[in-house]
Amino acid sequence: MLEPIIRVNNIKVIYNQGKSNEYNALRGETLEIYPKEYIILFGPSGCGKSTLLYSLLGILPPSSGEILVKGENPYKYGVKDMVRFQRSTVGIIFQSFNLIPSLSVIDNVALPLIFANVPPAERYIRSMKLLKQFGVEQQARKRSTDLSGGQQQRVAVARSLINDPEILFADEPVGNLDSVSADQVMGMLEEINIKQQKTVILVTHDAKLLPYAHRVYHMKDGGVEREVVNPEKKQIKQTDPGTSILSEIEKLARIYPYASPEELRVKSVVNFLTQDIGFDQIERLERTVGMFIDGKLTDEGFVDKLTRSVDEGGPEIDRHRAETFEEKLNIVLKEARDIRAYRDNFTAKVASLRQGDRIAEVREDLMRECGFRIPPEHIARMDELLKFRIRGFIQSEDFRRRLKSPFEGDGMGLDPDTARYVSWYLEKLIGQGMYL
Amino acid sequence: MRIADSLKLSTRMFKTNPARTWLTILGMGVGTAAVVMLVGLGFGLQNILLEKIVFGDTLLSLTVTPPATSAVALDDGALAKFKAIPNVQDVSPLATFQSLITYNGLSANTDLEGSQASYFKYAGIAMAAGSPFTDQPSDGNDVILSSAALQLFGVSDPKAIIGKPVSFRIVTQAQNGGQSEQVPLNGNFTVTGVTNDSASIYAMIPLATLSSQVGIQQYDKVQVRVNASGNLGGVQAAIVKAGYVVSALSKTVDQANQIFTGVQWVLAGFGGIALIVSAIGMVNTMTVTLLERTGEIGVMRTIGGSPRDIQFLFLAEAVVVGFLGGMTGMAIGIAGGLIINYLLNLVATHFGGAAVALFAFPLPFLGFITVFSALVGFITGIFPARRASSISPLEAIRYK
Repeated sequence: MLEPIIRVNNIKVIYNQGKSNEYNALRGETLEIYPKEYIILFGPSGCGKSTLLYSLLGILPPSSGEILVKGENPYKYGVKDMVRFQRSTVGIIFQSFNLIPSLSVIDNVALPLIFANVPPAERYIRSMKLLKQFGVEQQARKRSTDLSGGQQQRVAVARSLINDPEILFADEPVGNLDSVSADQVMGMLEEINIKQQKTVILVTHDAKLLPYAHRVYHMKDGGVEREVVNPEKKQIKQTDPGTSILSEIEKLARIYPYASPEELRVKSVVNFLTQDIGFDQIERLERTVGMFIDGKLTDEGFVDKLTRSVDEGGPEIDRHRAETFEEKLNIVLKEARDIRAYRDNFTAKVASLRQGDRIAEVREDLMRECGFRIPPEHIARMDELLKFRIRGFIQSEDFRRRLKSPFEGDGMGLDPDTARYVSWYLEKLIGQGMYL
Repeated sequence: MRIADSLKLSTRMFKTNPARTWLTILGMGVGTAAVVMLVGLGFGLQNILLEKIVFGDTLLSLTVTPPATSAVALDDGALAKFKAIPNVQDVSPLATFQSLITYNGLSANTDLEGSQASYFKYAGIAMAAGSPFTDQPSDGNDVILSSAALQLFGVSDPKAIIGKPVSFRIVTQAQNGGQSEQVPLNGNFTVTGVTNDSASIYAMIPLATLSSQVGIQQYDKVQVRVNASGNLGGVQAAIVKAGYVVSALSKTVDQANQIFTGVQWVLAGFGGIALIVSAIGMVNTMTVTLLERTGEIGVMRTIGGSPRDIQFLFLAEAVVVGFLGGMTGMAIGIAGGLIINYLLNLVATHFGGAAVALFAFPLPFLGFITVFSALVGFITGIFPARRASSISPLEAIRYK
């Protein structure tokens, strides 16, 4: 039976204990982390995830309860053992990198070795090896402040690994990074977890990072709300069959990371009531539509992909419906382009004869899609309403109200259902057009 | 941590905060400079007083004079006796006669003293010009005058009289209490040196020359050279026991030195106040540095720096600043002393005084200041270093 590398037993952390501003940062946490696991402590700010991390690092003594790292309680260590623990058992990287600005990059990486009395030649070799591994060896002689954020964080990762610790802590490691650097750093952490077989414990509030972990502890208000196992990763923690079951709620939790289990239940059942395809299909459908919008699929390719079965990774839509999707989507995209062109010309104050045609085409499409006809004498007002809405002079609510109100007033005299549908559809076209 | 590494880590402030670091060093330097200058002044004054007599030979010599009662005579027999006393290395007598000295046609009364070359060393006679005679026969007609004697002839520049001829007539009392008579001293005497004694009028010639022409019954003084300072007391007691009067320059010098040690401490005390002010300033700077580095300390603590490492880094930094402050202080203090001395001497010589070295900076004193300044740095570093090492790593990391 695999022994956990970290065992947290009912720990509580109370800040300012006994004072008027007493604050329970952790309210009795119990969790187990196994060697070589990638664990994410996830939650909004103030949920206690960082508090838990720093407690595990050995610098925040819990007010009660027990932490065992490799079977030993670091808070029972003397100064010497604590230093040994921080030198050889754990490593940490921070959101703000925390490199020492007055030292060169290589000295920053070698700093833990300097404290550990390692001779300079060996320090150099070990530091350079890590810098090379993380692609920052060109920067070795630069001051750390001269590096970009991504480079700094890579240096910080090198520093955290220089003593070859078994456990690597990361406190919002990509919180200060652009998405490209963030991907690089997350990739490094994954590699450290998989190739170098280190236990990685990462704290974040960013749901995008959750797929990296084996397991995610969702935290809220100083406690673990639930533990979510990542179905895409081969689990290290062994569970007896039947003790946990991966339900739709767990899958939904990955789509809506901030939602509580109750909210997820509601989402699940509302999906059943309003839609005839499930979240899995929706996800795949979204991916396929995304590819089509990006121009990566032809019309035929799109239909073909929509009809693929779930086993083939498709949303499994029947052919007839898929063709309708393709047709409608093309119309929506065309009208979205019309609306975009109209708005562009309008804001650029370009007078063009095509403007009227664009409005007419949107009107025609609306009538076709929503199934209504208007007499010729009403066309001018309809076009005026469309222009007002597309230019943003009136809100969608006004637009809908005027569709319903009688023609004798300032409206179009449509019945309420049609009016709602027209407005709903136009908003979609405008939305598509705005972000085309 | 290795020494080289801790030095590297504790001198980063020269890169990160050069202006503040150098100002702190300058502050310590000014404080140290005050001590160096004031104590240097004490040493200088001490030297001015003692420099003429503090030769080793002089300090190891006893001056023996005959007792007022004439109970014992200070004659060749006495010299032999002194020489026989254990630990006595040498004796050097001085015979004195009344005489008339003639220079450039002018005559004046003076003491004519006969001595051996060694007497100059033992009595601590310093020369203003020329050099003392030796015991060689070739120097037999050399004359050394005191600078007071020059005044008789209206000569102010000691160098002007060197090489000039003088002649002597010895005045002797008649045996029967009758008239005194004057006996010319044979030989062509030439002035070869002038002592810087402006208090008493005398001329010195080699004892051999004097005794070849006049009979010497008694000596006026005898310098007894003792082999080591520890034996001064014993030899002195033996001579006193024989009935002679003994005075030791070393005693006087000792007393003077004691007084000057006191003076130096008082001066050092004044300088010390300045140094304390600088040290307080440095504690302040170190505390600010501590606050600035709080985050850094937190990081170092979480990546394997022990509290001792942190404490050591701060102490090392304080010692470096203190030490460099000491160096700067010595440079400022010595330069300042020399400049003041130069200016004073400009004024003094302008008004006809003699140039003196008002400041002195003995090497052991400078060595002491070097160590002391590092120590002051160390002491000022203790408090911030303690704080730095006891700071909680978590609070340090979160400190903004």
